[in-house]
Amino acid sequence: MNFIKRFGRLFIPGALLTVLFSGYSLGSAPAQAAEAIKFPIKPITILNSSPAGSPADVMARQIVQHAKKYLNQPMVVVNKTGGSGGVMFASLMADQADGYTISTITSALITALHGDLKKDFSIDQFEFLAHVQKEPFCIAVKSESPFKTLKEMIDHAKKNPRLKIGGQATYSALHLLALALAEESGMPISYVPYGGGSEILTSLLGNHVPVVVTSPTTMNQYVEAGQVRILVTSGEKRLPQWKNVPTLKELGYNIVITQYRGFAAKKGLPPDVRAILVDTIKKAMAEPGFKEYLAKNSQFAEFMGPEEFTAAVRADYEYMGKLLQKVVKK
Amino acid sequence: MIDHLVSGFIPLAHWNNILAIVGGSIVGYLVGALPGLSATMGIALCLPFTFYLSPLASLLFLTSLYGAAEYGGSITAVTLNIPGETAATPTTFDGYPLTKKGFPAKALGMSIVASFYAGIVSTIALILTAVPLAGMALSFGPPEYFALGLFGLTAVAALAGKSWVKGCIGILFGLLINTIGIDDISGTSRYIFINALYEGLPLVPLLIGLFAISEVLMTMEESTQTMVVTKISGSLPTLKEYLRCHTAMVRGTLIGYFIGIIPGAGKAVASFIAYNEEKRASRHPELFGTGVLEGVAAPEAANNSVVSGALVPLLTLGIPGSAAAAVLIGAFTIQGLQPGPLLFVKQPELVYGLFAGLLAGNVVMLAMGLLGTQLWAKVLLVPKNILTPIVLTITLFACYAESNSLFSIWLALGFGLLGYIMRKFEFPVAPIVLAMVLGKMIETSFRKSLILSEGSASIFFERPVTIALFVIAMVSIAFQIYRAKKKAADRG
Repeated sequence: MNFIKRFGRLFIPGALLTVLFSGYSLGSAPAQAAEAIKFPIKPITILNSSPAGSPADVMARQIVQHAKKYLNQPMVVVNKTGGSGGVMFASLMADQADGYTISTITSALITALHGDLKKDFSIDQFEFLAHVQKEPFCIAVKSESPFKTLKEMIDHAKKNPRLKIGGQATYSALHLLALALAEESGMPISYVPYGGGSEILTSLLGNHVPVVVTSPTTMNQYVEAGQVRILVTSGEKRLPQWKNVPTLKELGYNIVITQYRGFAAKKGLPPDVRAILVDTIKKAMAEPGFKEYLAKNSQFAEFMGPEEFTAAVRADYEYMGKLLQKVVKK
Repeated sequence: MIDHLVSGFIPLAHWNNILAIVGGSIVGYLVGALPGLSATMGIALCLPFTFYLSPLASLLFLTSLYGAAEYGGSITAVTLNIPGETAATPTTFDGYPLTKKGFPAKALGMSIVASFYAGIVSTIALILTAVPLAGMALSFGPPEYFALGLFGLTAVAALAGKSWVKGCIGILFGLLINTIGIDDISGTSRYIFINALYEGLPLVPLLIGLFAISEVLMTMEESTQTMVVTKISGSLPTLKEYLRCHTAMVRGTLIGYFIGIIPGAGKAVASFIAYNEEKRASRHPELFGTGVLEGVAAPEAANNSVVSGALVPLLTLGIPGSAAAAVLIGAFTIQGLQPGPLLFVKQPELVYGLFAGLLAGNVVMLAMGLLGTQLWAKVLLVPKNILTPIVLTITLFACYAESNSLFSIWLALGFGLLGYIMRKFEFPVAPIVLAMVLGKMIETSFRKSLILSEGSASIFFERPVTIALFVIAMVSIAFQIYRAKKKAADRG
């Protein structure tokens, strides 16, 4: 009892003093802060629409790790999956455009704005901060396949029953790529939509389809192991790990489809906040640790600032929209 | 290989690897026991934290979590008739009747021993057969998945209870509601009246509604006199009972392992098929559903065996054998590793460390399971008028947590009401879950097959695996009809 009384006697004045001092310090804070407050004063959330471990998620986590020394606050990756990105878009738009909630952005997400997401979101609601990675798609066959080149494949397809090509979901970028190639070359195809990268891979390795369209990341190690041959890639330039594989453009097709990954925010960021975010991402990309991660996963980085990236995203968006209208909506 | 394996055990002596296994098992155990939190979600939730662990510790943590979650799902299935995981649904059929009879510890003891047995045996099978069996994963194309799905549906025979017709109505209803959402093949939207239905009906609220909430509604009917549980026996199964279930465990383990290897089939399919096959093979099938230990042992062995099975194509080909294994690929990529043909060559120490960790993880799981058995049995001593509201709150919370939307809660309540009405009219609810688990696979693989064959149905009868599965499905049905007829004749 005695102890409690004594404790109380000490505690109450102590508590009062604390309140008093915190009042003082609150009162004095703005005066100091006028010069000291600098974005960020609290952790930054990076929303990611794909599950942990997916390429965009790993990219975001790598940036977070290497940006540590350039920011006095941590960045946290939060996975908001589902609804072809709709769930993530909704929570990005629900927050203030103050730079404390930003998101990863990929070409697939922007292309999805042509689809059902159109009702709720538009490309004009975003501000594009930085382009980080770029990767084309590729057309692959098994090493035992009779198709040594794309031309052999197309010639075969023209003379035989419809060529089956496996790839990702209906109306995805991969589907559009296959349809565009079929139209330009005049070969008849049947597109078989699979659930994702590993299903596409299984269908190829298990001889269920003769040809697949997919992303190089899922194919790298199978090419290295000698199980898969790449016929063509869909980028502007050849890929450094597959120097002898031509691009569709080189072969005379007017098709360039790449997927990009970067960062975006809700429109209306204060310019100084945007500058800090862009600068941090740029510095993180220049870290040796980040470069090591890229090399390990055969990924390529190319920094683009807000203006350049916005232009690139818009161009891609328009291109995919046109392609979609041309090949699908007939 | 033996020396590889022995050297695989060496890193296990390191304290942070031990901590990873124990920590993973504890988290998995809790994730499994909480209805609504599945092993897949557990792995997905913990994945970001493993970013800071060493590659081996991270994989040990996640695989221990995976295995323990598969066991944990049976705890609530046995004690409360609420499967903590879809794959634990068949465990309720005989586990809960045992609890009602006053022997929850026997059912729990059987399930942990079956899980442990399956975990160890399937890990050894994984070590010995991963490379030769990898091809099996590739041999499954759309026609094979279609046949497997149809074969899975024959498990309805074991779930239908008294009436075939009612079981089939449940299946058809399940297949129907499965078509809600965006169709995977053509991208058409079907039966979407509100935005929340774009991705189709989620399985978790449905499972919680049909099992947990309908059970809560049933309990509300009981008078307060029966609410106080009279007697709960804490006795574990006897050695004789374990030995009697040995063949059930072997069958369950084999079924789980092979279905695990097939990417995309899933653990729920394995445990439903294991239960069905166990009932078919049994000399007293009429006792199934009243609380026989074999009915607990077989599906529990199967859903734990899937864990190792799913690692076969993951480690050798880079193709996940289950939804949880697909999330595990994320763990590899976060660490900068690529599971696939080069993993055994480039990082054998990691692969064998993982094998050793799997064996050790199962021992940890067994210890935790046995310690927990008495504790869980005690939960049942809580009067039902106190326990039931708690269960209701937790399950609804789990529903919300799974999707962060109130819609799931309404869905769960709606299906709860449906489940209650179904039970009142003696309709079994499990066939709906079975149809939900298999529906997508059957439909999309059927349509993909027809794209591949350009519309010809002959594709289903040209491939040996497909034909074999059709024959087994047919025999399975014929056998059950024959037995039912014979029983009727004996009686008449």
